[in-house]
Amino acid sequence: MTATSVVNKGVPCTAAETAVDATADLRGRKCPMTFVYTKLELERLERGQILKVILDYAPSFTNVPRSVELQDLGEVICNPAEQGGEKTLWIRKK
Amino acid sequence: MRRIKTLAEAQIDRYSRQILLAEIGGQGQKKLLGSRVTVVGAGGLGCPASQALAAAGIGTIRIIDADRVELSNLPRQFLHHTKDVGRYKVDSIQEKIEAMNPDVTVEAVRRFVDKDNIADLLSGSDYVIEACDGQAAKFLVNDACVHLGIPFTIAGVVQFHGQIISVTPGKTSCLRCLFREPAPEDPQNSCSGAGVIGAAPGMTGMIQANEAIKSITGAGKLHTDKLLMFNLIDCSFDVLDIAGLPRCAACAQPREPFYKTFDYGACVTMCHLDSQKA
Repeated sequence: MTATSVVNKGVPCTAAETAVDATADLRGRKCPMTFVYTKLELERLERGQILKVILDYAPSFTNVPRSVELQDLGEVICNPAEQGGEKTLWIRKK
Repeated sequence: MRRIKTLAEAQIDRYSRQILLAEIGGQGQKKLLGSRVTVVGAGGLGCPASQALAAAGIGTIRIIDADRVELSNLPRQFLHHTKDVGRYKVDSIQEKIEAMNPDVTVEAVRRFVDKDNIADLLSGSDYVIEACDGQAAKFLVNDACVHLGIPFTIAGVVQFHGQIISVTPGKTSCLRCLFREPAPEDPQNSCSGAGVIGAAPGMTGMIQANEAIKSITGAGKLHTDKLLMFNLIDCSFDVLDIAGLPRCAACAQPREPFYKTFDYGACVTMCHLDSQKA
């Protein structure tokens, strides 16, 4: 999917997209591995860097951002509605 | 501790439920894979401890024991099977662990620890699990680890009950701070004299492995400065605060190898829960 103009926590997805430092294409993976790989990617980044996560497993659409914030790993700065059975998240590492 | 740079895809899958944990994550899993834990004793405590360590992905497990498997061991020493009777216990465990997890290297040592060999046998360990069945060995491991500065856990089990203590040398009370001297030999308080149910060492060895995992990853809080006393006959669990005890002879001058001068010879029995409560 392409970045939409949906705004979340004050950051337009188009702006988040231009600042992406790493991308985790997790299409084809299911819970809990979607969060496991998201977590491992975030561990590799420096504080403040942005990870783009692409998902196509519906339960992960809510589980991944919730787990990222529950474990205080990062801030989901853009979380637009799913499109075509896929969802993209932009996460700023804490 | 060896530095592990990356996790392979199969490792991410195998350890995913540990990586999920906020307290461990990928960084903690790499520490586990790069670590060496030494288990002194391959019996009732050593089997579950080494099983849990291996499953969790401790990269190197050194197991020390010169005993061979006996039929009467099998109800509590879960890694030994009927076909293993007569084999060295460390060989039996090595075979099971290598089948369980190819990430783990087992260093099987067919020896008993003594004053002369213990420094060599514990060297390079990130954590030590004392899993012997005699008080002399418990005090020897305690005193040597205090001198060598290796964090460790000690447990004793008989019948349905047991005790566990973890120690961070130089920072927390040790077994000798608590009990001072090994108790006189009393065969009625040993597993062979008084009996033991497998769940007691089984649970205890697992807790010891968890202490090692926490120490290596920095997760949570260690069971230091506390003595856990349990009795599974009524499922009671009590924790005794042992923080701030007067320093024992081993802790007072940890740079001196106290263990080399102490006579461990006559003390070969287990701690008995009731005698310690008195």
